[in-house]
Amino acid sequence: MKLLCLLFLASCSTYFPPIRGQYTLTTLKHFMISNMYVNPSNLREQNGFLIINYDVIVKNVDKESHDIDVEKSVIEISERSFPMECKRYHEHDEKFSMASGAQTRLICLARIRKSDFAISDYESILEIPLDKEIAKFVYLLRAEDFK
Amino acid sequence: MRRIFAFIFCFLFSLSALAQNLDSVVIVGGAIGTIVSSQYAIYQSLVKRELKGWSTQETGTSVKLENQCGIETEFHLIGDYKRNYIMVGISNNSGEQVSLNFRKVKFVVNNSSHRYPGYSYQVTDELVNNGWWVLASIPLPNKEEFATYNDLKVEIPVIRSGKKKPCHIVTEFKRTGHYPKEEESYNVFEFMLDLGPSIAQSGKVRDLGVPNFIWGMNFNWYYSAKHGAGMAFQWEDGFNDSPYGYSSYGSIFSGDFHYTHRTFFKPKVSLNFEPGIGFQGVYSNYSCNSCGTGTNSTFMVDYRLMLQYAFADLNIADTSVMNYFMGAGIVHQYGFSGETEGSRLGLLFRLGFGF
Repeated sequence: MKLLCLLFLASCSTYFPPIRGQYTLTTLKHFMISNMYVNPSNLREQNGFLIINYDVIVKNVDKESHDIDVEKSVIEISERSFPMECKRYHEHDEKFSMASGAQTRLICLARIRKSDFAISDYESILEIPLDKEIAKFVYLLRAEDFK
Repeated sequence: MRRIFAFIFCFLFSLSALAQNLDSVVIVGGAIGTIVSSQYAIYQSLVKRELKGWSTQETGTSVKLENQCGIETEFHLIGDYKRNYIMVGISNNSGEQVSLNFRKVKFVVNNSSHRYPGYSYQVTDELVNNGWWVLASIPLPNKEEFATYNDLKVEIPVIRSGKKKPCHIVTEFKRTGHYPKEEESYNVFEFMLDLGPSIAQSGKVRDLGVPNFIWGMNFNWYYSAKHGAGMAFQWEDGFNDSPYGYSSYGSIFSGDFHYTHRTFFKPKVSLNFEPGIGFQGVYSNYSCNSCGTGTNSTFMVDYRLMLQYAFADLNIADTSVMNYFMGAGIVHQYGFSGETEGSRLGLLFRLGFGF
């Protein structure tokens, strides 16, 4: 009976997804940025591609407004760079201006062809350009993702 | 039988333990660069949904990023079916150790009144080293009261090493809309023990004699504040004066699957209507003299109408999520064929717990 109880308790804790990165709340020179909205379970596969969604909140903490162009966002895996599509949450644009104190949300989408990689764990780095600075986040891809 | 009871106890205990676990006040903290369950914690926290009533058009969330007192903070207003919280992410890159004075967090409501979180005694201040971060969920006043808020200012005192006076991290939220589902608090799971006298029988079931006592177990799962589904088992014990010779050990057993409609009159008082369909049969420890040829398991419909009273507010702002309640009402069952054809009516008294 004790074993049954333990099994039940254990089963309650087995459905959580693996860790793929860590919480990052940091300030660059002019921007504050958080990745609170990254959901580790939302990596999915579609027609031989891995689809990665990455969601960040950005605040302009400078006294002046800044022009942002996130068109050149990339994901770097094993020293190879792949383009990543980033857009603003509400306006769906890639180029915009952020006033002093303004907050926005960027939703990024990366598509990785599974067959381009050996089955292994990879520590990928997502790079999002913010004016003259670059916000970087670590994202762990697991060997199981490439099977 | 003992094993079944032990299993049921363990099952219920596990569920309540799980529910308690999901609701701790200060969730987790860690050092940057170490492998800790950071995203696990974030994922867990966001199981409690962002409150749409406070989200902005730009982000679709209530998020507020601040850089005050030399530390970076992130605030969200989140909630589950029971209560609302402020989730705070704090990252200390100030070069000093800081103490977050969680016991003295203050809410300024609608720019006039003050409120403080209803912590349990377990909550203490949190020391955060340079390079460390902390995630915390601070419970807000109950949902009914929170629905009246249009402006919420939060102040968290921070004491830095070597400083006597605290610095205050302040952030302000403004309501952008009202969503009724975010403003009601309710139990999702309820487990109940029903006891009471049988009071009337009619139809063929009357030939079995008069059962004198009802006892049963009931489980409800609510998918919204008003609507739910569940199942119940019930025994009616002790036939008296049976023409078929049933002993006082005989009983009618029944089980149903039911829909549940719950109407709250007050936060603590509700009326539950539970119509269902199921089966029923006759059980006797002694062999009867002439039991007839009816089937022992037949189709039935039933309903329970119960007035329930919770001993505590469903959304009390502490770390406990489980509450207890009592109730009283009636159960009415109708069997369509066999020995139990006919209707039976009983009074029920209910004790239960929910979370």
